[in-house]
Amino acid sequence: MDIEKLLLKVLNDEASSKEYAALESWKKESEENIKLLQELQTKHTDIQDGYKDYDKNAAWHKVESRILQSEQAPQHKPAYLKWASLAAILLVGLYGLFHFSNQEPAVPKEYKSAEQTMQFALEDKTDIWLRDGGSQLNVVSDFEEERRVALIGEAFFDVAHDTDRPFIIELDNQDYVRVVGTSFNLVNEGGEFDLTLYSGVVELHMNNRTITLHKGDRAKKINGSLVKYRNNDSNITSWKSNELVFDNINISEAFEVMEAHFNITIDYNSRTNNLEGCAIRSKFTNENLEGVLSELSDILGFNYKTVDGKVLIKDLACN
Amino acid sequence: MLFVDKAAFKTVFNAHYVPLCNYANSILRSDNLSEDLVQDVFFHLWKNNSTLEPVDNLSAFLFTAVKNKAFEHIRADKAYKKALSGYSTEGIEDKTEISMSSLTHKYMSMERLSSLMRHLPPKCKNVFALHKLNGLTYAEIAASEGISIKTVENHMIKALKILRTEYAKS
Repeated sequence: MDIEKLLLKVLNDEASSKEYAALESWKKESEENIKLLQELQTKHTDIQDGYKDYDKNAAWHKVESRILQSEQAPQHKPAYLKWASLAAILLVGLYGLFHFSNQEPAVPKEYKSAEQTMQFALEDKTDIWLRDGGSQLNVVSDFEEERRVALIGEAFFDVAHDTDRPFIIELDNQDYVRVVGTSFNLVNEGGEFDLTLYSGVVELHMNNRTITLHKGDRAKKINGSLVKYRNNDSNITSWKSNELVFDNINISEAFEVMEAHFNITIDYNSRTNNLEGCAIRSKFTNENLEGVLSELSDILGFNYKTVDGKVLIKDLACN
Repeated sequence: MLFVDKAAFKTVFNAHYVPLCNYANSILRSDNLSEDLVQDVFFHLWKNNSTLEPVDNLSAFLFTAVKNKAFEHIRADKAYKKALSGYSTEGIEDKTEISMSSLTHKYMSMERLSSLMRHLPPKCKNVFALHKLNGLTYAEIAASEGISIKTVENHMIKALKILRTEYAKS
């Protein structure tokens, strides 16, 4: 008998003594079985009336950026500066005529992307693309001696060349990236980062060590350790260019690229299907998920449907 | 030190944020206020991490922290006091002194089941909730949803199957 049918009968008080015996032996199989049964037997009437699902990812971003800001805020600001800035705000607010830019301490600027990729230039003409979905860049210095910013999330940097004022991106703890002029993609999330260099040279400062990266290098911090290798993924900046390039890669890799690009989950039966030799060569520009899926399904002859934000791939076979 | 490092802090945050917000909301009756308050509690815990002692029951500790903060807010809220005009706010806290650990347990287990249920397809989840949580019989569900009793049973079996695999994973 199916365990599910058995569980159903037990939960509905319809089980026979024989079935209860079967349940007992199932319970003996693992600790988890016992816990699950207890879980299912508890009445959770509250869930229906009012247990809500708050967005913990958005909340985490808020808390983390608050932490980041408080860590970067000057510890002991002279009191007169506070009064000067307060006075400045009051006066500007009242009259809107005076320019206090000389006396005012630099106010940190924050950029945060919403549903769209956000592009802007900093005052030094550094171009920045912030990935959609709540990536955040904070400008934390006045750019007088050095250009210092902090990133949470993912961004592409095209840093304006200026040997006198190094460009510094704070990552986590004491780690940072130091740049003179170059372009690169950087992801900094949850204490891990992923840096891919497209031109020039950058220095990565991590745990008081300095690692120099050259054009085409990629460095990742995963679980506290650093890996450096030559980048061969042509789709890292697909979020920015809106271009997906499948250059003779296996369909399973293509699905991975699509998952990262469209921020979705793709389910396909990788175990039951032999996907070897299932290579794909194609290029998509400004195409949405549906467009890419429909073309891939034409090429490879599979069926697909979207359920609950997940894409289910069926009948995937490579001939 | 309460949290070993930021990764540990984040793990605790992720596991408790939703149940804590639900709890705060049961006191404050405002989603925005509740979320702000819970975020505030976490922010201050991290800021003071180095001076905090490890605790035995972290969940109960967090629920207590949120409870105290929520009542602090209510006490500070003059409008609330005015609405109560003449009544003392003293007794409010006592009502919730049921037992912090049973309350913590209640919210954490609600979170567990509700997060398991997030894996269910919509129709399946609906049937499961109607039967398991609202106590409707198969016949009642079949009638209200316009499906056959057999289909209700199939949805239930499917729900249990998914819950079982997700539970094993979690």
